[in-house]
Amino acid sequence: MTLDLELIAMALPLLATGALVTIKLAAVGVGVGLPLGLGLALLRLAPNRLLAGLGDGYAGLFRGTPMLVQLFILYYGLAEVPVIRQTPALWWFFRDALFCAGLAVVLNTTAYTSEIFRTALRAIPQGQIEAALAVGMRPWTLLTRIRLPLAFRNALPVYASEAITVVKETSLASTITVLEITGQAKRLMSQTFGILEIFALASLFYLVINLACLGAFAVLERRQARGMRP
Amino acid sequence: MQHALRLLNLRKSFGPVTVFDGIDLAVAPGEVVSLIGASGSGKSTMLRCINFLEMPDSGTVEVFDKGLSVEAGGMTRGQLHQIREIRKITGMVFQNFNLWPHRTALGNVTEALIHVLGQDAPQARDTAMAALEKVGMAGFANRYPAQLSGGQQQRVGIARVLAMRPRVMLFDEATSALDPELVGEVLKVLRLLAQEGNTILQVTHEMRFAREVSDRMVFLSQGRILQDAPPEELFTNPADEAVKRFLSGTH
Repeated sequence: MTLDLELIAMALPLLATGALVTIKLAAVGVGVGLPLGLGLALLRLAPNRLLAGLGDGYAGLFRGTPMLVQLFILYYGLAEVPVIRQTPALWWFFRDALFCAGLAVVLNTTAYTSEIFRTALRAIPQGQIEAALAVGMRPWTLLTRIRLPLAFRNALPVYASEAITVVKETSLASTITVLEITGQAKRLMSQTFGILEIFALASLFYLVINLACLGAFAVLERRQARGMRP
Repeated sequence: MQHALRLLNLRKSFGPVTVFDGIDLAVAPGEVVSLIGASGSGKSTMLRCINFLEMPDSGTVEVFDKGLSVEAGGMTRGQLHQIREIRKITGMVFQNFNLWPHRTALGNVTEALIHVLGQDAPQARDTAMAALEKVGMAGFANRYPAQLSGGQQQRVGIARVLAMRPRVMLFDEATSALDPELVGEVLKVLRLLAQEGNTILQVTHEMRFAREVSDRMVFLSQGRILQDAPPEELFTNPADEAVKRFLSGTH
């Protein structure tokens, strides 16, 4: 087998177009999922049992079911619900495969992110919280000045893994017609039959995105950890 | 006489275990009072009830003109506000220092100045540097807690309290977690604070130090005050067999 340069030249621009969609989906996942996940983590740690239980329920539901199935429910399933078809705003959203994919990514990563931050928030030594209370900090100040900064430092290495998981999970969007990297690759495969080359190239695109992502997190982690170890 | 600190009929239990059942104690302005007694006698819990890190079951805590009576049941908004007011004028030094690891020594001290007292950054910096100077840590202002020894961390912990200009200082076994060779540097700072006329209530196991700096020593056993007397009297004339045993055991 020889390397088919013509095939590669044809595939590259299409995969690059797909990569933009992948990056968009992942960026929405991280950009929206991170704050939502943080909020959900705080909800799950709330003293109110009902609120905490609701948060736990959400996290359990989305961590306990496959994202592929969630995607099918959002895109194919909801389209059969009359209320959604008949409400213009909802139908505008749910008939769009890209929107559904973005939503699924956000719903999923929110659940996982909440788990990461719940653990990180609970790992803060109680004494450091008490020191903040003892000087008269309000709950909000305690949260923004002490708890969140410390939780971020605890969570960062694990959250980096979650971020690249998000990038990889966006490939599922190809199953509901979204032409991100994997979607483009599948189309090219049926047009050219250069299966190995096409998917090797597709992998390379994912790899580059994820290594860049991990690199960015490593820089952030080094900066945040400054002084935290002797 | 105005009290700096007064506890009235303070009660606290953890589940079925009663820690103390009706404690009364008053500390005058400028007085240094040491709480002593065996572990589990309720000393630390009592100290922590003053700034409500432990919630008393019932009773009254007064710190100068800020007072709060607690009854069984939840806290109202006004009570939570009053708790913060009391916390602002009391400063607690913890056994385990409890510095915030993501902030430098200076950051640890400016944090509450800026975000609780509302000072602007340059003013907070000046106040903090003066406090760090006082505990001999000005040269380490930009170090992080992980880069400091235990004794240095505790001195920053003391500076963090000093900078707030608390009206009552609470030391919760401030030297108990330190390696023996580091105890001295912290005691030196505490001694200075005691001599400067600060109002101090401390839990300590350093009997020599307590005897030296205290105006009164209060012996607690099983949640009761068995003796409340000037150090010399307590040492020469222990009121109770338990006090005598404790003192002879620690010497």
